[in-house]
Amino acid sequence: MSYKKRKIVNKLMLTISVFTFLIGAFFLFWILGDVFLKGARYINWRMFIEVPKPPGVPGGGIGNALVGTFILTILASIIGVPIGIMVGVYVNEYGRGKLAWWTKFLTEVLTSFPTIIIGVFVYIILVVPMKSFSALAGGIALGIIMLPIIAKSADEAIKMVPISLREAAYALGIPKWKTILRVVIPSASGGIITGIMIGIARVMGETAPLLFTSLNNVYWSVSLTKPIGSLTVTIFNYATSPYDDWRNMAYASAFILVLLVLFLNIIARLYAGKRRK
Amino acid sequence: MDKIRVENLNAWFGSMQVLKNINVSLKEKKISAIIGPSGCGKTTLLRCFNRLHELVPGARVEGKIFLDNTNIYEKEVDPVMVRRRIGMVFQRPNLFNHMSIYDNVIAGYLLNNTKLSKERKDEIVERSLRLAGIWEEVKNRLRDYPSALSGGQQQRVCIARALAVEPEVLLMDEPTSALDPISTYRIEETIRELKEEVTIIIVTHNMQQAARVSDETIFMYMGEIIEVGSTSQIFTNPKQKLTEDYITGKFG
Amino acid sequence: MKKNLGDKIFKGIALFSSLFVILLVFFLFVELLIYSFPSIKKFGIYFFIDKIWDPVTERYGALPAIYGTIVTSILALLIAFPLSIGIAIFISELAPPALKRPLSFIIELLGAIPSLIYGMWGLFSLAPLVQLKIGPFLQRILGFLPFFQGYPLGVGYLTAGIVLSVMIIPTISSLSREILMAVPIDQREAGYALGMTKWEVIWKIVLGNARSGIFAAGILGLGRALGEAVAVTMVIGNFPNISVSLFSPGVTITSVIINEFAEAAGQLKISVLMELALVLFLITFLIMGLARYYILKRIEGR
Repeated sequence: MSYKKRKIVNKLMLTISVFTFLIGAFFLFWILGDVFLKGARYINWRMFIEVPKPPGVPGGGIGNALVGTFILTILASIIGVPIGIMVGVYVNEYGRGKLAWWTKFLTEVLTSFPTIIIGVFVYIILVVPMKSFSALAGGIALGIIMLPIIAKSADEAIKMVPISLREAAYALGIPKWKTILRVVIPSASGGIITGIMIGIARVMGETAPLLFTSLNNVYWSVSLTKPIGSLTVTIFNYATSPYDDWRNMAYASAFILVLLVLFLNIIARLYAGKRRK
Repeated sequence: MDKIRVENLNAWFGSMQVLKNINVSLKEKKISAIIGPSGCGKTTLLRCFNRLHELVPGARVEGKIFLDNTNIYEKEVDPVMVRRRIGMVFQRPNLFNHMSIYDNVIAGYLLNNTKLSKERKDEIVERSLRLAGIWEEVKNRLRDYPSALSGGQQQRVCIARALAVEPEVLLMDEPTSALDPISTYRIEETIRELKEEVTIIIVTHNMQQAARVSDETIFMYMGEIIEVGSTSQIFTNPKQKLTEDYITGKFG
Repeated sequence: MKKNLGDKIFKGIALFSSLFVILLVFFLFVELLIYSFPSIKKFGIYFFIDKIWDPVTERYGALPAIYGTIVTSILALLIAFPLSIGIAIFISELAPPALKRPLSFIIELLGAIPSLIYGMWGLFSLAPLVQLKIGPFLQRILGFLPFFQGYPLGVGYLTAGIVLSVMIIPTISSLSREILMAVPIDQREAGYALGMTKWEVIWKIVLGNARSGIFAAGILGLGRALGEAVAVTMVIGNFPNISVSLFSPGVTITSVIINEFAEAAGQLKISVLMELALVLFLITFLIMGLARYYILKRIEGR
């Protein structure tokens, strides 16, 4: 190939690479713009304190769904955060053999596992025996989804804690478990907190697993043993309905969901960036 | 009086033997320096005194180290208890970044959940920082985080942290190797003053430093102790050819 | 001695957490297997080759769902893979260092958007576009191919494939970017020193070095596409059908589980859905497992 031709290929391919990025960015702005444009104008304050109404009836809101998502997220965090952190502790501080390898490997696999399967699994082990869909089942499903995300970030953050800090504590006569709890985990807290924020953002946006666990509830409910409404399932039902006013409500609610998720992701990113410096 | 006595100590990293049949005694309230070329096992020996060596994956120790006539490698001895009696200062300052300077000094109590009154804590902090010769510099910023201090200041707070739990022995692993000459000078001053309080064992690759601060010197080579004696004897009249070659700079 | 107790308890908790993860995956498999048993017993191998789905006569064939899952995922990968590699190249090789992090964040945000939002975008914005613009356009220039025949409905394999492709771009591109950035500088410099152009260095040296890692990234993206549920359900059209035309509606494993579960009543039907979930579990576990195993080995090998 002549030098001139090589130059042209070079220019062309580099330009294509820039374009692929622009395409990616374009999709992001298209999808977000879509939700913002179609959703923002249907936002009103009453929707935050009202429950869904039948189609055609004016008003109606997502108050119960917001409460439900909040409860489900808390439940998920109660399960996912401590177990996730302890998995990170185990693989770094205790495990060196096969068990630690399998834990790491399966954590990785679980991170990108279809969440619908988790939903079906919790349906089998909880909803069937309890003979009822419940907030508890939903929270556990989301907790299982959150766990590997936390575990991975805890693993990475704990790995970054220098050995010298642990040795400083050991040399002071601090037992290993107190060293981990009071030196290693606090030193890794930046990465762990980032992971928690990402994990929360992730489970807040989950729909599929909730369809098999917490189902939905169009009334106010805080009971853990009853079905509970959630932002995502409510939006899913609204969006797949044939009624225009419900679809508008779906977009308004989706707008709120996207804001929450983006907010958490951006905060997590800024926080992580700040810690890096 | 001997504070520490080492008997037939051997240590390994995996299959590599790094300490070979070490036998040595260290005197109480004296400063002993361990010198030798890098890789000679001096840091490993130091880390055997507070049972830190065995925490490295694959590391192994055999033999006896007596601290006041108790073998610290006896089965029923808890290494955690050993480390409360033997403090350590590391090559690089390793203060806990998530804790204030004040909390760092009393970390030995704090992280163990030992309850202390406010007065007692203040007292310990001031006494330790004074001993480490850094009280005047930090007394108005005790609530700051360690990152606000220079490397030399941090290292002296590390010394204060080690002293705060009132150890009987203080291990120092090349404590000035990461510092500038002025900080080094001040830490050496501190070390000399501390002799009244504790038994000090210092590992250094800097022979002038050993000559300046220590009473006794141990010369190591390839995992073995070649010569032990008073510092003045080792530096002026070494008995072994190898020692002489090392201190005159023929290798190292 | 009391101190040792603290260490033992704490280590116990850590060990329990690890076992929790391992047992979780194990029981996931076992429970799905137990629950699919009635279906496995009744349909056997025919489950995978029967294309009839009829709740009235209780005849359930999974072929349309498996077909739909594979078609949409492969389509997604075909679109997303080159785009993602381009993006990874742009961020790792071309973008100024100060912009690398913000630019990769833009792409990573694509991965943060809930799949429900993708579904709404696909259903209300993309599907009409496929029906009125993209579909007819493809028909005009590629209409001779069997893939682009028939009438574009909007929802169907093509729309689902496009939606999935956008969803897996961040997965593939961020992993590829990491792998590209891990290629040592001296490899590049060796290329430049031989008089290669920037593109030649990227194509022949950087990608050459990273090729197996990028392959794993693609597999991971494929795995994500296979298991995606809500977004696909909203745009696939939900018609149990096997068609070569990408314009026609279909079903996927996940869409069948979601849609049929809502009205599922009989034991057998539940069991059928569980077997579908089991199939999905096995496929994704195999694929993710291979990719993750590879990546984990690679990271540890470094």
